[in-house]
Amino acid sequence: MDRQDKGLDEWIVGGHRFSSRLLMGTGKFQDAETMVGAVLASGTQIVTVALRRVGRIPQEDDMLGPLGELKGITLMPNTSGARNAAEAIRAARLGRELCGSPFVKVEIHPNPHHLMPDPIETFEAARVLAAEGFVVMPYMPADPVLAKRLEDVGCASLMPLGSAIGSGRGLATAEMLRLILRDARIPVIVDAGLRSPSEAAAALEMGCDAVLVNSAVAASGNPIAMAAAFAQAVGAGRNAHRAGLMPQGGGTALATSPLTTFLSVEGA
Amino acid sequence: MRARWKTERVFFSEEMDVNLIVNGEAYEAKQSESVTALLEEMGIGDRPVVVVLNDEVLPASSRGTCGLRDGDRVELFRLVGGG
Repeated sequence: MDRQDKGLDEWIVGGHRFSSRLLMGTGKFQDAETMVGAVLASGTQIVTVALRRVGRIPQEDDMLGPLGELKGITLMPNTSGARNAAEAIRAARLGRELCGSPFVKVEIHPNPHHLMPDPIETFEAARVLAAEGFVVMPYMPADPVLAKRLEDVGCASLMPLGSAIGSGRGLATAEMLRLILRDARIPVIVDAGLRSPSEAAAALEMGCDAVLVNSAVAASGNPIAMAAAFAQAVGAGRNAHRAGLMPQGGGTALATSPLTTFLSVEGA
Repeated sequence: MRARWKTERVFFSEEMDVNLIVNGEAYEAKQSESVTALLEEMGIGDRPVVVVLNDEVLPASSRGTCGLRDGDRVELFRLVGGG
């Protein structure tokens, strides 16, 4: 394991150091105030944003204006809306121009029904963008073979899905995630599908380096409180991973308290 | 990237409109000495957008000096919330 396990427990992606292991999306929030509140409560250091054409109505809400004033936040534009590699590459270049950040979340999901990432187009976009010097973070199917291929072409991290975007079905891909983690030499971030903080904790316990959440916070009853809950869960899961879980029993109970002396007089 | 300086545009008198394609739709620019002026006219002002002129990203520093011609395709993008 050449993960960053010592000292401050920072993790490094594309040569950049981070201490927070919770990445936040900025979609679906009711208003800018809630979004900024949730970003602050989450303690996140990497925040995703999307790119859209400017509409003809000039006074569109500037949801993201306040984000620029926050210190210590790296903006990571995504390529959502791209249906193929060429469109994603173009979106990435525009995003870099707007954010001034080399980070890009490559996201190509042509089917609006399931929003599953297209592995072939994602691979091609990642290859080109990594060669251009982007810090490429691909949203990908939880496929260990594709993971290795993406690592080989210079991706900075892997972002396999837990379950479908916005579905809240949790870590449906847990077994595949374990296979990815076993061989990955770059950070693994579970992106998409999480609903509850316990799932985020489980991902970190398993050995994932971070998680990315958006709907789980934005569509919750209280996004700011939920962002804080995710931050705690991610911290707990990470600490548990570092501590090392106890061995699992083979179906046999093992008592934690002495059972034999309850009715007898001690020392008799 | 083509940079068109104001001096090259003497041909266009102040009354003449310039027919552009902005974000895929026909757009008649009233006052278009520069991309900066177009952004003003559209009500975008200095809000953060990236300008793509005829498929090439126009650096923000060139907006004030880059003029527009009939048939130019302008695309404007901004950041929005996303996951």
